Amino acid sequence: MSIRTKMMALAALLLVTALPVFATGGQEEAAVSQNPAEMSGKIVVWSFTDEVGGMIEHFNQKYPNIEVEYVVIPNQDEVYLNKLVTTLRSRDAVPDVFTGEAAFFRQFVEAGFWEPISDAPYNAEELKDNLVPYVVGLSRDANGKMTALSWQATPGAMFYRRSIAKEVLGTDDPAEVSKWTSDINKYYELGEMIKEKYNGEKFLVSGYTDMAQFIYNQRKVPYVVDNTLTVPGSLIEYMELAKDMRTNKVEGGVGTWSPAWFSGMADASVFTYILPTWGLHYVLKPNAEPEASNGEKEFSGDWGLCVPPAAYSWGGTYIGISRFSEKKDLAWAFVKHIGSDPEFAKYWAEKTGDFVGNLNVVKEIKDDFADPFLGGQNHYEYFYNEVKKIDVSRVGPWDFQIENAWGDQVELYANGEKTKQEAMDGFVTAMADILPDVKVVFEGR
Amino acid sequence: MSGRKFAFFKNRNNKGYLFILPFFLVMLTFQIYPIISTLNLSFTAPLNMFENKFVGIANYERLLTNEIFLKSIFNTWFMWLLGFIPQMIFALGLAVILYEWQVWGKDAFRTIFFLPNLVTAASIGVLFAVLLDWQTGTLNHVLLTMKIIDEPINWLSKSGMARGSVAFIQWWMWFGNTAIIVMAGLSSISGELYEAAFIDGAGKVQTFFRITLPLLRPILLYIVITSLIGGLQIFDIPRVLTNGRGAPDNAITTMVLYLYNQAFKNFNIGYAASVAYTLFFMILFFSIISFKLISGKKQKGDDEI
Repeated sequence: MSIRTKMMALAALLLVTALPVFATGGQEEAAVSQNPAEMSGKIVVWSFTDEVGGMIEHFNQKYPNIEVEYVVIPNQDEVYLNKLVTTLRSRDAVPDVFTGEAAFFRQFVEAGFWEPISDAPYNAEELKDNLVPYVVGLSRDANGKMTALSWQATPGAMFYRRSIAKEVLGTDDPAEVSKWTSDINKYYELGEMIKEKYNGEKFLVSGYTDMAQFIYNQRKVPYVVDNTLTVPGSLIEYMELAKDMRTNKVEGGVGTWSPAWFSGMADASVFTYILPTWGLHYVLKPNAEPEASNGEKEFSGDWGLCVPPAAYSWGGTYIGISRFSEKKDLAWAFVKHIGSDPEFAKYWAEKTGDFVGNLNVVKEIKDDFADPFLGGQNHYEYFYNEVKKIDVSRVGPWDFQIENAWGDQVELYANGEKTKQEAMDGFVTAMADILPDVKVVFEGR
Repeated sequence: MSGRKFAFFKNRNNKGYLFILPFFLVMLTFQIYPIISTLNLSFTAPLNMFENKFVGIANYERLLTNEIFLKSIFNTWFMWLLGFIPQMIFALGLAVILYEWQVWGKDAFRTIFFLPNLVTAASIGVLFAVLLDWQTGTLNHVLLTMKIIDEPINWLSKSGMARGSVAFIQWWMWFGNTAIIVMAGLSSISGELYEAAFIDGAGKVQTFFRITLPLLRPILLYIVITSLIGGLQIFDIPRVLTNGRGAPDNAITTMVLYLYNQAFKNFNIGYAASVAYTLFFMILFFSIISFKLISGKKQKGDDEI
C-alpha cells in the first residue's frame, strides 16, 4: 500500500468524521400568511397515537391546500421518543410538527426542539386567554416563551361499574358512590366489601398501580430542586398501601396497561378504573364496549363517573412546530387550528367527548353534556371543576423516569421481595443511574 | 488536470483499489466512523436531549464504581454459564449418540432439536413471559389445576427464577444448534482412528475421551468463542421477559440491557457509549483468553512435531 493510498484512506476517514460538523444549517424565519385558502404545501406530522389523524379532516376544511402527512410511531418502549430525538439531533427538516406527552414533553421544551411561539410571527400569547391556564403554563421554556399548544386538558377521574355498585352499595348514584371513593380509607373498605361479596372473584381495582397517578400528584413541590431529589411522604405511604392491598387481595394484582388490565374492563371483574379525561373515550370506551364504541350497538350505560381519593391530572398531548421545519407557516396553521380554534374544539368535543383545552368552548357546551356510556352522566361539568385544581408548578423533565423507578421498588416491597429499607435503598441506587448528580433524600426521615 | 488526477489509476496494478473501494467506503461510514464517534461520545455528558458537554473520563469513573453495572456484569456471566454448561453437555451427548449409534430417524431428531433456534429470541421471550405470568400464566394455571400449589406464584418477581428462565431459554434455543456443529466436527474425524482404537481394545468411554474430544477441540473452540460473544451481548430475552428495566430489581439486567436503558430510556448517550467501550474490551479480552486456553496446548504439540 503506497503512502498515497494511505493518505486517501485517511482523508476519507476525516471527511466522514467531519460531516456532522458541516451539517448544521441556518434557520429561516417563517412568514405567516393570513388567508387559509391561499396557503398551500405539504407538512409532515409525527405523533405517538392515531388521535391527531382524526383531526386532519377538519383542518383541511379550512385549509384545503395544505396536505398533511400523518405518521404514527407508537411510544411503547420509548420508540417514538428515541426516533424523534435522533431525528432532531440530526437537524432534519422532517417532521414539521410533532406531539409530546406530559410524561416526557418537558424534555423537548428544555432541549429547544419546539419553536417558541410567543412572539411574531406566531403571537400565541394572543390566544392564551381562551385556553386552560395550566396547559399554557406547562409549555413555557426557560425564557418564559410558549412552545406548544394542546387541544385538551386532562384532569383525572374515576370510573366505576354501576351494576357492581348496586349489588355492593345498594345504589349506583354517582354522588353516593363518590362518598366511598373520595376518601382513601373508605375506598379501601369498599374493596374489602367487594372481595367478600364476590368471594375474591371481583376486585375493587385492577392493580394498585392504577392509583399511582393521583398519589404522585399529591406532591407539593417538584421532585428535583437544586440537585436534590426529595421523595415525598405520600410516596412512602403509597408503599404501605400497595403492600396492604396486595396482601389482603383488595386489588387484582394486574399491572396498568397489561392485557389482563384491558380485559378487566370488558369482563366486569373490576369495579373501578382510575383514568383521566382521555382515558374515558380513548381507553375505557373502546375496551369496555368495543361494539358500541364502533357504533354497532347502543352503550349499556353500566359505567359511571365518581370522585377519586385525590385530584390529579394525567397525560395530555402537546403539539408544536419543529425548530428545524422549513415550512413553519404551514406548521403553525396546523398547530394553531388544533390547539386553539374554537370551531375545531367544539367539533372535537362533540365527536369524541374529550375534554378540550379551549375554555370558551368548554363553558358553552358543559351544561348540556350527557354521555350515554356513563348512563347519561355529565362528565364535562365534573372535569370543568377539576381542571381548576391542577397545579403544574411541580412538573419536571424527569418525572416519568423517577416515577417508574419508584414504582419498581414499590412492586418489590408489595411482593415481599424486599423490606422497606431495601426498597428505598434500591431507589437511591436506581436514581444514581438516571440522575447521577442528584442527591436523594426522603421526606420526614 | 483530470489526466493527472487519475494518473494513479493508469497503473494497471492500482486499478484493483477501485474495485475494493465500495467496501471500504461502506466500512468507513458504517463501522469505523461509528466506532470513533462512540469513543468521542463516551467522553461527554448530556446537557439536555440536544447538547453534550465534554467531561473527560468521568463516565468511565462512574461506570466502574456503579453498583448496577457491576451487578449487570455478574448477571451476564451467571446467566451465560448457567445456560452454556448444560448446553455443551447436552450438545456433546446428543451429537455422539445421534452420530455414532446411528439412531433411527436421526434427521428428524436433529430438526426437532434445531427448531427453537429458528424462532426469534424476542418471540420466545414473549412466549415465556406469557407462560410464567403471575395472574394469567399457563404454568401457574397447570400447577393450580393439578393442586400442586394453592396460590399463584409470582415467578418473574423472584430473581433466581427470572435468571433461571433466561438461562433455560438460552439452553433450549441453542443446544440443537451446537449439537449440529459438533456432529459436523465428528464427521470430520477419520473412521480409521476409531477402528484402530477398537482393535487396540479401547471401550466407548475411552474412545470418547482419548479420540473424539481432543479432535473436536477446534470445533469446541469455535463454539465457546461464538457463545461467549453472544452470551456477553445477551439482550433480547431479558428485555422482553419482564418490563425491560431488568426487573425484578436488576436481577436480569445484562450489560447490553444496561447500555440500552442508559442510552434509550435515560438518554445518557455519553455514559452508554462508555459502557459500550467497556463491553468491547471485555469481550476482546475474554475471547483472547478462551482462545489461548483451548488452542494453546495444541499449538505446542504442533511445534514439537
